[in-house]
Amino acid sequence: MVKTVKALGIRAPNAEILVGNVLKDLDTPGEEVRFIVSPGAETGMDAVARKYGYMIEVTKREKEAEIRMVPSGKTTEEIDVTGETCPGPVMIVGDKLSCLATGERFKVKSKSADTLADVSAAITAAGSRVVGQGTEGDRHFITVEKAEKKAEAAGAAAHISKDRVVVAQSNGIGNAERAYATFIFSKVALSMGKKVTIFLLMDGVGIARKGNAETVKHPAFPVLSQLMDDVIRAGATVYVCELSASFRGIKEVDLVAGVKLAGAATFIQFLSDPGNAVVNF
Amino acid sequence: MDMTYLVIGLAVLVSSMATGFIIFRMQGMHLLPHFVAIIFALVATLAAVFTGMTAAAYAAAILQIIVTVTAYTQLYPTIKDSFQTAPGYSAHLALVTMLPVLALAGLLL
Repeated sequence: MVKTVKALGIRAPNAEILVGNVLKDLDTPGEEVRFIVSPGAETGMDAVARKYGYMIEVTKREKEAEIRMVPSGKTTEEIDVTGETCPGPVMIVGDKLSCLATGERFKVKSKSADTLADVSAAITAAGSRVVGQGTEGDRHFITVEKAEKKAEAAGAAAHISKDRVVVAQSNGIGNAERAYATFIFSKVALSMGKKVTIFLLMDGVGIARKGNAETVKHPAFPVLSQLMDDVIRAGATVYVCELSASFRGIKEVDLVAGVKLAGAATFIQFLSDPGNAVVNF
Repeated sequence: MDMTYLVIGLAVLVSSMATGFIIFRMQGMHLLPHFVAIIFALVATLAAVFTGMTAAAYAAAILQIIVTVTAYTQLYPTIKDSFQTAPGYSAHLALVTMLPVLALAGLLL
């Protein structure tokens, strides 16, 4: 756990005294602490850190500075995602982030810089931060810090944050690659903190018929029904176009658990909402 | 036993390897039983053509029929619901559907 102390408005040298007192009276001695202070208040903190056996990291931002006091000798937890293929690294890091408290950090390592670039994009989209990067031997690394996603500023109407992803699938199991892409993209979007809605229409409704997704298997991926299950359990909403289902003689009882029948209006509503990013497969 | 039908069957099998490979990429491992059946049928048909043995011709005929059956059993879940992508499978289905006719013709005529 990382304790966070906000001390905005307190200037040096009073900030030094405050930080010293906090470090001295910690409930758990040797705990990592981050202080959010006003710009300039970080002056002289090196001596305070040394006095109490801490290492100091200062991050300056526009209206504040973050002073991170890390106990001397404490190492950052590491995850090596070398060898994992998309969406593995993003999922692993997303799972790790969801278990951390705000301010906690860990290092993600990989032989592939491209993999880390993909992971960085996912982390940033989820509201957390990449606070460091570099190489160690044959591995690239990034240091990730869990942060709360900031709410959009009121009045920033021109900027729309697309936190909801709508995946429209119209090819069904007749095209295994598109069927896989539907659920793999959804899984990644969910791990990035997006709200995911999958809309199965036309041939796509066949995926939701009981027993059909079990027949789709690529050697490099789990069976499609497993992916679909994972995505539904992770919170995605899966709609089946009522018209397309009727066209194929598919009734509600023929559908797998966790999917819902929906009309064209639902789909149009999703398409019309500017907050939705729509992907077609 | 007329060798002509066996040779035509062999040509159909070789062609269906090409169309089969293309739909194999769309469908994935689901078509493996059918793909294995095609390979066995191809080997048995080649053996029958080159040796002229009646036993090999019977084995080839049975395997060719199995090729047709597996094509339909493996593709049924897809063609049942996939109206838009089903035409992609039509070339392969058309080819393998010729096989039982040729197999029986080779044995009976």
